[in-house]
Amino acid sequence: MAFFLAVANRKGGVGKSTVAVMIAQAAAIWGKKRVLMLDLDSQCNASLILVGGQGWNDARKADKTIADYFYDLFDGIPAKPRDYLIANAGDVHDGYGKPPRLALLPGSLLLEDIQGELFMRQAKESNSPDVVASRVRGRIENLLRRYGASFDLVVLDCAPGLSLAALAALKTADKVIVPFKPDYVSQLAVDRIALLIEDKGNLDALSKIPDEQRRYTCLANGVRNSGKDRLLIEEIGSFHPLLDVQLPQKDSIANAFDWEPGLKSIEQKYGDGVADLRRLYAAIRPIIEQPGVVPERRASGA
Amino acid sequence: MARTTKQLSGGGKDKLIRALIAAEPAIDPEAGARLGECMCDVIKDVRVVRDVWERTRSALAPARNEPSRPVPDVVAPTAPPAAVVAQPTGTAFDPFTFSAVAILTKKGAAELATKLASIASAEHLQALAKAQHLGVATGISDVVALRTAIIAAAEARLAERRAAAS
Repeated sequence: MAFFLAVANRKGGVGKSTVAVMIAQAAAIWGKKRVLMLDLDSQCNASLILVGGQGWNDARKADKTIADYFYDLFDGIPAKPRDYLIANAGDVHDGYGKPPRLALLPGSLLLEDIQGELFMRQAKESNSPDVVASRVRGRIENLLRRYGASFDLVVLDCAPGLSLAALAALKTADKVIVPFKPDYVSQLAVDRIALLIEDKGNLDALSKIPDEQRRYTCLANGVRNSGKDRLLIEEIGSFHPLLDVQLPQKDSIANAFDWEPGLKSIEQKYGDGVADLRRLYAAIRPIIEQPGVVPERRASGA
Repeated sequence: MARTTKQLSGGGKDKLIRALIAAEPAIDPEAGARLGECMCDVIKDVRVVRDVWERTRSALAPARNEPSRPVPDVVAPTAPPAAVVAQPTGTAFDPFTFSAVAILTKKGAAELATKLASIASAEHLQALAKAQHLGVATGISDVVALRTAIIAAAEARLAERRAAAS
């Protein structure tokens, strides 16, 4: 069964998609894992990074996006989840000239609309909006989990908003990585998503959960070498667990997300940012390979 | 031939006087502060040994005004004043040396007070407050009042954060 790793933050522009892609590529190439990227963001950035504009457009025309997957399978149409995937995604090779085992369920601009339709479909069976929302979310969760059997790692690139799909992804995830930029607004955004993930009403209640038992951990991204960034990271870390790595603000990392035809090595792709990627993967690897308390929480229904 | 002494006046002279007083642990900090103010007012200029001045001018900025707390950056407690100012402090003050809010959150107000007590200069406390977006009135020059204001501001910031996340 795959490990489900969500990358989420309610704030936009914190690097969710880029972090998700970095983890997916590192796990596929260095970790030799079978990786699936589920693009749950209607901005479709992860899809564009991994297969380029044409590749993504082809998927849309073929009705093979995440919105199509949800729409088609929601009512049990006998389609195969694998048919919606693009295999060999990304423009980096595995070190031996071959594409890594990285698949993509492409994102869709229509994802929000589709969720509305699914809600309306389900609304015929209940008058309570909460019940309907819960059922739709539950069915989306089931659809996400159906990919678990075929992969070692499923990366869920979540949208900033709290759509039913995003909530389902947070519920499905064994662990949530919360990237943030060191600024005051991000601090509040991290607080909010942490409360949501742990289902707590305030920071005091959240603080009672030991860091090692939290279902999320935070990643400082775009960090500048300044006292101010250091301070803000420290402040965020006063309430939240932090990954033992930070991604610096670096052109080489930013430029790595421009899709180009043909395969190149991961070192060529990330330039001098590859050392940062190695550090990131070194921090993520123990999480995805040793889930720790997560299975117990899952088994206990927590 | 190089001159062996240096004349100081104005701010440089005041810093030297305050540093020498602050380096003497036997002087009560509040009394030391008053003595320092008095001496700064009545002494127009001083002539100091240049070697000492050259070696210690970076050490002259921080002054010890804290009750019962040593000033490790400036002096060993038993050292005579001349040796005291000869101890280099090393680096300029970093207003991000620690996060007041993070210390308050994790360890409480008492620990924050202890951390702030290690900062002896009102200028440095003001700089820390400003850099860390802690709303402290600019007119406060008393270090004890400044520390209290910083703790209150950090508590207010934390309360804001808790409110936003509830």
